[in-house]
Amino acid sequence: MASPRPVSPRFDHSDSDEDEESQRVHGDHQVDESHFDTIDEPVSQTLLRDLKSIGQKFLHVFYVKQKISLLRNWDLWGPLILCGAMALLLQGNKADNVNDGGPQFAEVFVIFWCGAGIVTINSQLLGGRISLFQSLCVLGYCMFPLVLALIGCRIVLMLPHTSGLFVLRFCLVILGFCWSTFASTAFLADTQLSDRKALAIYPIFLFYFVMAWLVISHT
Amino acid sequence: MNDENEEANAELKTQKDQDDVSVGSLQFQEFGNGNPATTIPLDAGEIGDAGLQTNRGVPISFDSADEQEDTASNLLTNKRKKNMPMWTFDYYMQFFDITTTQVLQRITGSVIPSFQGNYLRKYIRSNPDFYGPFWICATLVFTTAISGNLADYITHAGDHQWTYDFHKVTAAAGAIYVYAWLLPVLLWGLLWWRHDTVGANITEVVCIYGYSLSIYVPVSILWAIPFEWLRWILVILAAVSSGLVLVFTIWPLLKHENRQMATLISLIVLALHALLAIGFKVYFFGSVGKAVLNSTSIASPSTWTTLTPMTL
Repeated sequence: MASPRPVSPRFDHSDSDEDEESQRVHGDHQVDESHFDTIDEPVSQTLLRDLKSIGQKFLHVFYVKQKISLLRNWDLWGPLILCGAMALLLQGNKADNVNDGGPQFAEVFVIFWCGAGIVTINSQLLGGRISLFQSLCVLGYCMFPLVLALIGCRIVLMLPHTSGLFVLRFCLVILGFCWSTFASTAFLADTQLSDRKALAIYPIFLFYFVMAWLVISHT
Repeated sequence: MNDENEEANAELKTQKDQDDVSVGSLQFQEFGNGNPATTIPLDAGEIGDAGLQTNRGVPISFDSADEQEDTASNLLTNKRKKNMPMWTFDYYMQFFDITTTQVLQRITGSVIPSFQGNYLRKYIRSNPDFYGPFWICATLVFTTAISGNLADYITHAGDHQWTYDFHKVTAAAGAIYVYAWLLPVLLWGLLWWRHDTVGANITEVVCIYGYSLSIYVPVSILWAIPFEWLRWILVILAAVSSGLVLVFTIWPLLKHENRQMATLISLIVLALHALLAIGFKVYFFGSVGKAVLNSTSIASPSTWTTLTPMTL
């Protein structure tokens, strides 16, 4: 069973020359970890390095200037965390087993990963120069604004329902959706040919639209 | 592809030799109309180099006879497909070799019926794609499901116990994809079984069907407006408009049939097209009738007219 590939510690600028060289060589594809000798350092340091990398990627979703971290040093931890959080938060409140109409926990996973997979295959079929996992990484991390909107909506739902609060939730979700689409477009648009950009971006728009609909419909 | 190029080059060479051409003098050559060998050989090189150049070397002869163009195009597309084995990724890339403007043109063409029935020839013949059919169907699935839930929500406005039904999406997806992908295959199969030859290959028929669904996307969004008469008008308009395009496009493919059979097949195609729209309307939006009697909300105007006779 494949687990999400842990991030390789290449962004740490205090690395030795050997690491610099393998950073240049290994470019876009997967890294074999035998070049990095982390056997001597404490476990906490290894873990913290990975966690720092994931945290940095989350920040880069909002501050889109630096594209390298998501594209070159891709990892799937962030998407997994976000997908799990979303699936948890979208659970209904009904205690009994009656289908309350919303998606089940596993259904959210299926929608998320299959949707991202289909969007990625589409952009590859259109001739885009991006690999499967890079695209999955970008699409997953760019879900972050929508998950924040979902958290906001859950908080708002704790107050008594009024239509004013519905408008507030709606605005939150629209904001999250627009930011997600904008961020992923900023990362992925350059990988497409110029006369097909709209064809590649439309499925991304549709994907985040469907996720936004899941968020707003959750009551 | 290479054979085609060599053939064309050989043709050009022999024609040149026949004429009186001295070295360095330029002469305009007469090329026969409708001659399939007079193609401009394009490289099967970069995908999406620039606009029209991506359509790989198909004869664009504007005044050739239908028959010749059909067979020539079929020859080229069959050849093109045979060059790549089915299990490579590149085989499927040829179905996505399309630009944004082409997709938009095909969508607008699928909505406006023209009596010459040349939608196939004008838009699709050079380059059938699967991008349009797949993503139009996907969009339709989600807009229908979302609009259905929205219409449901509007009729229950004020009722905070309303829950949405996410599983309508799977029903919608099944119906739409079966209609848009299985039905063209069945139609093509029927024509092939009866006559061993069909005027279009199977990808083109799938493409026609896929694009003909594009009118239903804005219609399904407008269905959220809770007026029954508006919904029925929209259904009829959309079904008629795109159904006519569909029938006019398919009509030339039926030329081998006798008149009754061709009319029957066209009517069945049209009927199924309309049935899809009506089916959606009833399944997703037909619950308005039941909800009005059951709900306690007084927000929407349609409930006033039906609740007052009940309270009397």
